[in-house]
Amino acid sequence: MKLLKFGFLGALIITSAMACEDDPDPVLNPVTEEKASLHLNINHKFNTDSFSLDQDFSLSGGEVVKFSTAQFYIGNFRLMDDEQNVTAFSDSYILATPSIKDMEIGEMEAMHYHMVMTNIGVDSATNVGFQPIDFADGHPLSAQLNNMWWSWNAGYIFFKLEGQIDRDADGTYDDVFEYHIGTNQNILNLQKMVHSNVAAGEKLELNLEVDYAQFFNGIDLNLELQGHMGPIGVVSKLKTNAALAFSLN
Amino acid sequence: MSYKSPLLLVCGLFLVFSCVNEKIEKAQKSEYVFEIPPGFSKPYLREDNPMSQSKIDLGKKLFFDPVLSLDSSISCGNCHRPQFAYSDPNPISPGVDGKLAKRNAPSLSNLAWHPYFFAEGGSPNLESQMLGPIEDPDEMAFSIVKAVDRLKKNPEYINLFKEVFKDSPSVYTTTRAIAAFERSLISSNSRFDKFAYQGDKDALSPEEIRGYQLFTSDSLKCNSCHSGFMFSNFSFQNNGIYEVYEDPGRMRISMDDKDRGKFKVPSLRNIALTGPYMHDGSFSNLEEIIDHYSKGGKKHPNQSDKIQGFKLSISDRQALLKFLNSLRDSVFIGDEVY
Repeated sequence: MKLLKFGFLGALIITSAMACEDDPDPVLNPVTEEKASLHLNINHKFNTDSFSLDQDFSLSGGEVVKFSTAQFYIGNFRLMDDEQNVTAFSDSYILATPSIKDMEIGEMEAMHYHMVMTNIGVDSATNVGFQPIDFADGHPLSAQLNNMWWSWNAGYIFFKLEGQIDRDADGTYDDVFEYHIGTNQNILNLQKMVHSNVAAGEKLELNLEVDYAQFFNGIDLNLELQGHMGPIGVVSKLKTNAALAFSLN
Repeated sequence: MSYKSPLLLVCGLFLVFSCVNEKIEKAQKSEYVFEIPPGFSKPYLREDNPMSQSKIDLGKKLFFDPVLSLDSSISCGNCHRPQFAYSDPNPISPGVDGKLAKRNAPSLSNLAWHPYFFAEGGSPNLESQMLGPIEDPDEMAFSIVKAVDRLKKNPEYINLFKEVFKDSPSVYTTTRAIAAFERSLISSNSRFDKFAYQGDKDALSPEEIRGYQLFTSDSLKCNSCHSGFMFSNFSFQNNGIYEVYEDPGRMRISMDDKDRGKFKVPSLRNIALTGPYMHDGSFSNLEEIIDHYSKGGKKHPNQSDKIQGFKLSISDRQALLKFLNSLRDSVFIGDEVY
């Protein structure tokens, strides 16, 4: 019996020792106690005005628009150093609405960074490989109350703009507009040179400007009030306009 | 006093045995072996959604519960009725407030062998497919998020989800339970199955066999699309029922005009029970379908070149209809499990 007990104890010690074999050596690989962080500020605007839902805004053609929904995905944040090594922030998607003005993206090593990259929309691997039912409730990519996917088709809605239009600015809304843009070819890549040394405990601040007025450039508000998926018709105009509406500073 | 001890002993033993039985019953309930019927291929199963009997039972309860619709008036089972092989005898099913859906409700047998869902093939799996009808304003007109909120307030569902998933109702667990139930809807006991896959050469009459030979003949070529054990190759075809299509079909996804009016080839299993037919329920019986194909379609530019028209004698036509009727699985539609 004693022999059995010692045998068991011996096996336990050997197993424990082997389990620790791959652990990093704390002397050779010191753990950085304090890291830097990436922070996103979002400025929602309509031309020079501050933007919010359920508020009238005038377009250059004299029409008045009011948004009931304005939301978009931003994520897949990556930082690149001078040697083109990329630090990716996994699971960093945000479903941005006008009420979201700033957000902590995540922590990274304190060092020099050359460029930051992100995208408006969902990267193709996630967009093709996952659906809202693959994410836990509450995750930005899970099923939403104001949904951001096409339930009859695979793929996320990258940005969704809905509201009403008053064509002659007489105080009566004449029609509704509904733009739901997605599919892999409509992702908008944004990047910014940062050239910054980010010290431990410091924030690298990114400023995203969204000018909702830009979405209406060249849109015929008599005819082009519906746009879904892409890439034809009004959707191709909205894709071009999105590149003007979103800017990273 | 002396009688009390044996009584206590009996009660004690009874309690012990009931607990043991309960455990065995629970263990048996959780076991589910997905049996692949003879002649069928490997099904599409999801590693993140293993089947268990208790999960299937929960999914079945949800499938037939109108709680998932806006006004709690319509369940999945309203448009997918078991006695019609989980299809609907209405050309277009009425949704909440009597609104009409966009297409004819398809039969739901053997879904584990479907590579994609919806007539344009846009949904990659059963778990996400169900969001379509739940959120379609012309069907259940609700939100999956709000539907789950309802389940979270229902003590019976709270207990059932806890038992099955060790978790509360969520979009993740709700969709997996319903998908598990839908995958369990296996139809493999038609007389044709017995004849072709189960070695019973007397299961079909000579007339039905002749009908099958016509079905696969070079002149009719029905099996060029309705092929294999599912009687579908799941391709997208325009079968020329209109000169102008209101429903864009596959083009809705591809945005390619060459896909206008193309729809997923449906399975013909239980075909005698799943009318009316076509994506919009515009053909009320099998005779009309044979008439349509024999005339060679309406020549839409995207019409499948396989539809060339044919001539059938009255007796051949009768044999073809008899064969199609042999695809009916009375076990599936009459099975009390469903």
